[in-house]
Amino acid sequence: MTEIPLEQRVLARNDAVADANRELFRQAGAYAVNLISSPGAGKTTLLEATLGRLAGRARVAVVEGDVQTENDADRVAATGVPVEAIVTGGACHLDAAMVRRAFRRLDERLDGPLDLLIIENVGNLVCPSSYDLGEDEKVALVSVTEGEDKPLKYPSTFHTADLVVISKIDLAEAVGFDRAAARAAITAVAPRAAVVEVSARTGEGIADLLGRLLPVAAASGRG
Amino acid sequence: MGIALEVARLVEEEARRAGAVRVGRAGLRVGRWSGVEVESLRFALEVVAEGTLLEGWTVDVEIVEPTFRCRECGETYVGEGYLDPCPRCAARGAELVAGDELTLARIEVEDR
Repeated sequence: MTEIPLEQRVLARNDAVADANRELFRQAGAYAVNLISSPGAGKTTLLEATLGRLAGRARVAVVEGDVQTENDADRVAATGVPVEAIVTGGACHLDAAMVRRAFRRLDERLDGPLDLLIIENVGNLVCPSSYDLGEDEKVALVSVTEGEDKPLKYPSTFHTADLVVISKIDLAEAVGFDRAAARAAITAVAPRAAVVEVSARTGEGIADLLGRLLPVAAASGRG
Repeated sequence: MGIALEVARLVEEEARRAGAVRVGRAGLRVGRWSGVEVESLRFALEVVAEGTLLEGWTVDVEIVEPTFRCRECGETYVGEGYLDPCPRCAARGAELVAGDELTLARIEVEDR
């Protein structure tokens, strides 16, 4: 038997497509965000609550990933924002090639440059974190109903997050949410991540979320 | 499964490039913070090997624990999170230097 040393990053091919995506997004002027959470944490609901507020402030488009159905894409479309659905049919995460194809389809329908591209990933706190999609930042969403130690259980997602959004904050008292414990867990695996608490239902924190996202997008030279 | 397929694709590509007829073994390094579940991956790697040069191969998986380097004194240490104090100087300010990788380290092949 001959031993062949390789030291090859397994996801190098995905990452090469992701880098090409970065260039595509840059050409469209878009600041791209990869939104990751467990199923039911409130990604789509947050988009429904937020996208309406961006009208006139920023040009937004959404790439929406799900294993089955285009239900979430339909909900986002109802806000008036251009959206392209990716139905993976089985894959529990989006990869760069899927996003590339979707963005190209979306780009054909856009009538001008974009400020912000939101990629709503498949609901999953494990696999999506491994796949660079070409985004400028990763946003991890975690709801108050999931337990304060979620970031410790899923370090791969949280340690790569630039922004952590705590959702359903209107339910905090009802579930006995321990804010200090949640913040400590986030700091343990993502000390440099910004943290924003929101409620899509009441609107609490949405202005703060946009205040964090839009200036960062603008400062990047895009958006 | 997607990762197993990609590992198999990379291994087969390298094996063919080396003129091999069979792959006996492969070594992977998987970080604890990589987002990859090792037992599922092991099973998937057996499945994807069937009917290929890889069939019957053994995959050695080295799990890499989250490893930090202290920004104050440079000490590297295995830990559970960024809040762990440095074992040498007790500072709490570290960077992750290993533990999120997913690397195909090596393969062992037969050329005849």
